[in-house]
Amino acid sequence: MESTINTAKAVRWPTGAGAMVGIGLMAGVDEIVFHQILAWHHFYDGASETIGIMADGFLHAFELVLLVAGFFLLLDLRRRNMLLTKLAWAGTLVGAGGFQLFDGIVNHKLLRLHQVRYVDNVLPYDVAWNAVGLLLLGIGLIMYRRRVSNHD
Amino acid sequence: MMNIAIPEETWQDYIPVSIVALLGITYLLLFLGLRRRRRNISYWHLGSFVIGTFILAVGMAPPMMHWGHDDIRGHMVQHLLIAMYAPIFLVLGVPLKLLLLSVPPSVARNMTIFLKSRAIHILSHPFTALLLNVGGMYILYLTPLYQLSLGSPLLHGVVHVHFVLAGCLFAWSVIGLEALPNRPDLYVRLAVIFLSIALHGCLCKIMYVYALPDITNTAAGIGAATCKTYSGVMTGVDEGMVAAGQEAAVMMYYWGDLAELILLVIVFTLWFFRKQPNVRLRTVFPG
Repeated sequence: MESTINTAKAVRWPTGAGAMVGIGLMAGVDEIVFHQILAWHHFYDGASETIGIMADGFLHAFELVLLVAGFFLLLDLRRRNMLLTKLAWAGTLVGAGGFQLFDGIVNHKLLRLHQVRYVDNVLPYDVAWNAVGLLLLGIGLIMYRRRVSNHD
Repeated sequence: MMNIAIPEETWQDYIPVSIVALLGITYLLLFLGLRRRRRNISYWHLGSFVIGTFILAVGMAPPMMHWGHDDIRGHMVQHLLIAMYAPIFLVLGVPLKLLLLSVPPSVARNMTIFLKSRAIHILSHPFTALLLNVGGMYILYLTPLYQLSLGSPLLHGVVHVHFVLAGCLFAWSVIGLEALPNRPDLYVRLAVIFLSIALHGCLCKIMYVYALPDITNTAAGIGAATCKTYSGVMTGVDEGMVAAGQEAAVMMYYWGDLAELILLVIVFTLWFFRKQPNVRLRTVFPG
């Protein structure tokens, strides 16, 4: 009984910590590459309400805390010899892809905080954006399944 | 009022920076006294406090004070330096521990009794600090208070003192390096940092969207209007003021974020090494 609990924990912890880092990293890529370097995204594009701004602010704070917390959890797992590297990578990809999809669907389309790029036809950009998210998510899930079934 | 007279420097301009220098010298003397008595206090604390004092001094230097008074972007740089960056380094200098070790034991005992009091417990709670820190900013930037402070030297001084004290109280209560009895645990402090990042970011966007604080009819607004911004060349005074205000809000957003990130890393680093007191970096990064 106890060994199953430990196995569950041994799987859950690195995956979870990896997912936290993945979400934070993807949010960081969004912030640095698309907002700052390419300047495709705007700080504020005039389309969203105050409630959208507030939601965005809280989401951003959440991502920042996740990034640092996840990184330190990985360090802590490593110190305790509990860091299953492949699971951590799988978690990272799932987190990154999941966040990309969430950003593409909820932030861009439902909350309309900002668009991928301000061009006449934004559809190809939206499709590419969400496809990348789906791809990362898929690879992460496959890695996770493989690692877990190898373990058994 | 298009021509702004550049105010001549007077001796009063040097008061804030002198107070900061005095603070730094006091710390240094107490620190050296403790080392001479072979008390356990690390040079890391000294280094951190010196950096904090330096940042605070830059933020309080006469040219910075003038820039901060005449241009909202200058004000924002000052705000970041004295209320967000300097406090982190000052708090890592463990000033309270230094003081308690330096004063005579009887005084230290009385100070400890005072620190254990209910009033101090409430005041030093991270939520109180958050309210004083971010709440103060909401009041300053979203009400006419900012505009009023530009016209009154007294109010201007109070705003700056509040910036420094609230910033230090916030950093001190969430970092939690100097343990007080009944200190809220890690989750409470993380929740407060989370709220701080969120509310700080929201404030910046609100300022950006609604062109707040209102700086029309102030020397700062007109001064800002004559400057160039990276968003392009201005055509009129009003547009220039709005652009300068927005530039200040964006600056507050990104640089404020970095300060909060540093705070998070410090909190987690302390958690990491406190969890297993004897762990060394070598075991974390072997080879």
